[in-house]
Amino acid sequence: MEIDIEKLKRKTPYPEPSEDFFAKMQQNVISQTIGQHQIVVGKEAKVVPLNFKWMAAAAVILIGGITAFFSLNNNPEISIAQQSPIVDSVYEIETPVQKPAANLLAENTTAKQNQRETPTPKYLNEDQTLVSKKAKTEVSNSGNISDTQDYAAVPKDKSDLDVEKVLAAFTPDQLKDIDRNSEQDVYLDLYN
Amino acid sequence: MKFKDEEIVNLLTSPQTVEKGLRAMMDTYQSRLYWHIRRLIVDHDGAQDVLQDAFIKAYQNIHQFKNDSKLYTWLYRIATNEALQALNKMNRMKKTDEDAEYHMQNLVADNAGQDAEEIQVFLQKAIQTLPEKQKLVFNMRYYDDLPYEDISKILDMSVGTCKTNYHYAKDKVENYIKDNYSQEF
Repeated sequence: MEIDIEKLKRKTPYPEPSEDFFAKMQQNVISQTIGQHQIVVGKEAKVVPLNFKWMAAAAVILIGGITAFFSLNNNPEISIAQQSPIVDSVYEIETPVQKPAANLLAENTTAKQNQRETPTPKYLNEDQTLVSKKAKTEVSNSGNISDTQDYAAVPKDKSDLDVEKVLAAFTPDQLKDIDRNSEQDVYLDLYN
Repeated sequence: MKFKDEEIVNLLTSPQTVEKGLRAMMDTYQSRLYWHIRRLIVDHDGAQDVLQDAFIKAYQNIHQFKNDSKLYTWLYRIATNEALQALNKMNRMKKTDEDAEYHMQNLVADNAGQDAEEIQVFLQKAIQTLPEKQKLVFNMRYYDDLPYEDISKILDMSVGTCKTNYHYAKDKVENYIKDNYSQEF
C-alpha cells in the first residue's frame, strides 16, 4: 500500500475550540499586560517597610531629645537667668548710675543748705530735749569727703523711757537669759 | 479585520494605541499560532496557556522586533520556543515511566475529535515519532505551507537543512502510516 501524504487533506483531527475561546484568551492577555500597567498607575501610595534598626535608633533619639528638653527647662537658675527684664512700654526702669565725686559734693552742700533752711517743728514739747544737730562736712582740697557730723541726743519718747525702766529692773543674769532666748529674725527688717 | 505587520507594530509602540495594537496582533495571528502550538502540545488547555504566554512575551519584547523581518516569523519563533519549553516541562513532570513518544501518541488519540478521519489521527501519531527539528519543519511546511526561507528564519537554520529535514520527516511519516494503517485495516 502506497501512501502519499501530499494528496491527503491537510486537516488536524482535533476539534475546533469554542467560539469565545479567542475572546477569553485575548482578555487574559490584556489583563496580564496592559491591565497590570493600569493597576500600577492607580495603585495606592507606596508603603515603606520600616527597618527595626532605624526604628530603635529613632526611638533612642526621641527619648533623649525629650529628656534633654525637659531637664533644661526645669533648671530655675538657667531659666531665671535667661529671662529678660519685663519692661512696660510706658514705665521704664531706671538703673542707678554712679555719679562722680564732684557731683556728690555739690548735692551734699545743697542738701545741707536745704536742711538749714528747714524750719524747726513747732510741735515739740518742753520736756523733750531738743538737741541740735551739727553736721560738719569738711571737704579737703584734694576733693576727699570726710563726714565729721556730731550726732547729739535725740529726744526720747515716753515708751522708750518705759522700756529703759523695765530693763533697769532686770538683773544682768535675767538680761542674759532674755538675750539667749531671743533669736534674731533675719527677715524682720524686710517685713518692717 | 486583518492588519498589516507595519500597522500592528506602529500601534504597539505608541502608548496611546498599545491595546489596539495588541488586539490587532492577536486578531491577525491567534488562529494560525494556536494550531501551530496545538499540533506540538496536542492538549487544548496546554495550547491555550502557551498561546497566552507567547502573546504576552511578544508584547513585552516588541521593542526588540526588527522591522526588516516579518512579524509572523517573529511570532512563530516565540510561540515555538514557548511550546518546546512547555513540552520539556511536561516531560519532567510526568509521573509514569512511559516513553515520551508513546505518551504523546496516546494524547493524540484522546484529543482527536469524534468526526476525525483515522488517516489524520495516524498522521498526527506519526508526527509524534519525529525528532524535534523534523517535527517543527514538517508541521510548518505541511500544515501552514510556510516557505522554506521563513522556516529557516523561525528555526534559525539554513534553507537546505530545512528542506532535508522535511524530506526525511515526510518519508518517516509515510512509512509509519503504511506500517500501522495497513495493520489496522
